[in-house]
Amino acid sequence: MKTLVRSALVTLCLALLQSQSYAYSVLPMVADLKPTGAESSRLFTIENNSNEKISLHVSATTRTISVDGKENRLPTQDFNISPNQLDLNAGEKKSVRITYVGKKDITVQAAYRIAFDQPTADLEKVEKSKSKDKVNFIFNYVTAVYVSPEKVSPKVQVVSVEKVSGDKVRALFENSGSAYKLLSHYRILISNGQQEALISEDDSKLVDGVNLLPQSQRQVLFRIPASIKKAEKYEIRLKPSL
Amino acid sequence: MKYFFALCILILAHSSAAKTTKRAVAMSAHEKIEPRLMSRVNYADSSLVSILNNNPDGFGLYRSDTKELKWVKDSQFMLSTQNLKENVVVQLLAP
Repeated sequence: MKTLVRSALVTLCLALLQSQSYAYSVLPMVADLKPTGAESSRLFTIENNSNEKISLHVSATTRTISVDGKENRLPTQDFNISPNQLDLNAGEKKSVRITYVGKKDITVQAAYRIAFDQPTADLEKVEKSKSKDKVNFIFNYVTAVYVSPEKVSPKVQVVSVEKVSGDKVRALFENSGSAYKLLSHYRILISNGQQEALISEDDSKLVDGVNLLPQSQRQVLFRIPASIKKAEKYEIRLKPSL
Repeated sequence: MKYFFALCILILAHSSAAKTTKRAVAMSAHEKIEPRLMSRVNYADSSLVSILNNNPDGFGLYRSDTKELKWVKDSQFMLSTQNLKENVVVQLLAP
């Protein structure tokens, strides 16, 4: 009985320790805006659950992704951010209004990043106060914001499959549609013309987080599953999984 | 007259309850797609940062020390500060 009470106390203490040492959160991480009207604006909520005051800087960038997956971001004036600097005391919650003020007559969804950054000067403060039980990380949230005109949709297809070596193929995917699509929302099947198999579990991790922005291409290298015979030509098929 | 007022109260109560239910559903759907950094936990001999994720698509985690972008789909991901040679800036990226 004593052991049971002791374990219950330890669990309670651990639970209390966790609840007292929260960091901060940003919501939403993904937002969809319209080019005009009431839906061209959105509130982002930042909650400081830590025991210390935090400062944040909010900024907007464009977002493009090259065929090899490199994300490029450039500062943009397409958003009004109010406020773009904020301090949050321990336990405080604040909102930031993001309003799209860019081109109104877009026909394809535009992708942006809105970043919530802690100044790196905060690291120095952390370093100075560093003790055995202090962490020395600072966190920046990089959210995804899409500005979508009416009736946009993705159109993803496999443009080409090229045999690279004995056991690998390079696939080129294209989204010729007007809205983004995550490649992980598909099951990817490789075929040698006679047999077909899903890509391996390891390779399925390669497509995690692969975002096919509208009007973009992306190449990915896959291993040919061991369950299908070697061939000169392969095909790749996408099956929606969500 | 008494019944009329009772009916009005019933209609108002129903409409208010419907609104509340709708809001609750919207909030839970809203929560589903958004990864949140939830907690920071310290242990006796090492410091750990716990990132709780409720986004089925996961999130990107970039560390300034390793310069690596890792895709995280686990519901809980731990970062250890043990053996760190420098301070680390962590970026949490939406897909």
